[in-house]
Amino acid sequence: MNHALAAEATLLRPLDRFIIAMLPDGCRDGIAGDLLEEAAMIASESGVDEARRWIRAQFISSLPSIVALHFRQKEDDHMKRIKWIAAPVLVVLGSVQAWDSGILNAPILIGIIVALAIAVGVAGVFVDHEGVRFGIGILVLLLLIVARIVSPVSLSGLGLVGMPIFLFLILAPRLLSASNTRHGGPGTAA
Amino acid sequence: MAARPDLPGAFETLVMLAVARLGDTAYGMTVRRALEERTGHATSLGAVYSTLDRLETKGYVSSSESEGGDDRGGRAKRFFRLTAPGLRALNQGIEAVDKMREGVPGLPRPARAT
Repeated sequence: MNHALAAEATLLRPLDRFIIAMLPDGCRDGIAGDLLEEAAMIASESGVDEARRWIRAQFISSLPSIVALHFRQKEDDHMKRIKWIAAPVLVVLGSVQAWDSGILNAPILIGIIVALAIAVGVAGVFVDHEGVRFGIGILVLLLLIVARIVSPVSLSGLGLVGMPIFLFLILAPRLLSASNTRHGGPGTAA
Repeated sequence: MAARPDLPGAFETLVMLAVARLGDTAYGMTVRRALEERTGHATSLGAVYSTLDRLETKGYVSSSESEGGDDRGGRAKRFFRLTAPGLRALNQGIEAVDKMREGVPGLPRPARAT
């Protein structure tokens, strides 16, 4: 058994190994390595029992932060999946509504404006910046208003094309995105 | 004009300062120890990693991994560096606190950089 494995076997008990296995993927190695490195230093200065107590105390005090980190990473993954599902859904929804609104019978310019509005809106789904996303939502509505002004297509029909896109751009990120990426983190050192 | 970054929170500011102080040697353990030694408050590794992760999401720090040695059971070491937007946000955060504390009774005047 080499030196590293011996130190790990001495300092980490089965429960510690289990907790390490439960750490979020992105930071498991970093946290476990740092923990072991510092515990080894404590063990050489104050003994193995003190190092084990320190490890246990670190796990207990780290728990709220690690749970938050775990959920934040899950939430980010969830948001990425939602975007890739939402984009084609909004394209289909917008296109079907555009068809229902009689845009195909309107002049070609109207069709181009509505297609542009849908394309811009769907691209906006992938924008992370909240302000830019809101701006894109407004642009979609403006394009549809222009389409309404220059065409006989009904306002409600065009509204139904743009509204799902606008609502997704404004509401979904607020409901689903990691709101805790914007706040200041733990007020006190845990 | 460059967009104004989000002001970092109190603990984020401390972590960013620790990363900046440590330079090339900033990783979870050294950041945690620097915080404990300088502030005198017990700090958990989980809080440090959670904050560094959030700062990385905001683009205020970047990280790179290097191979871990025997003392870490061969586990990779993740080094952190303050980015240019991070430094800007840190400066603006500290400036904002200095401005807010000016004239508040019972608080000493903020130290001025020379």
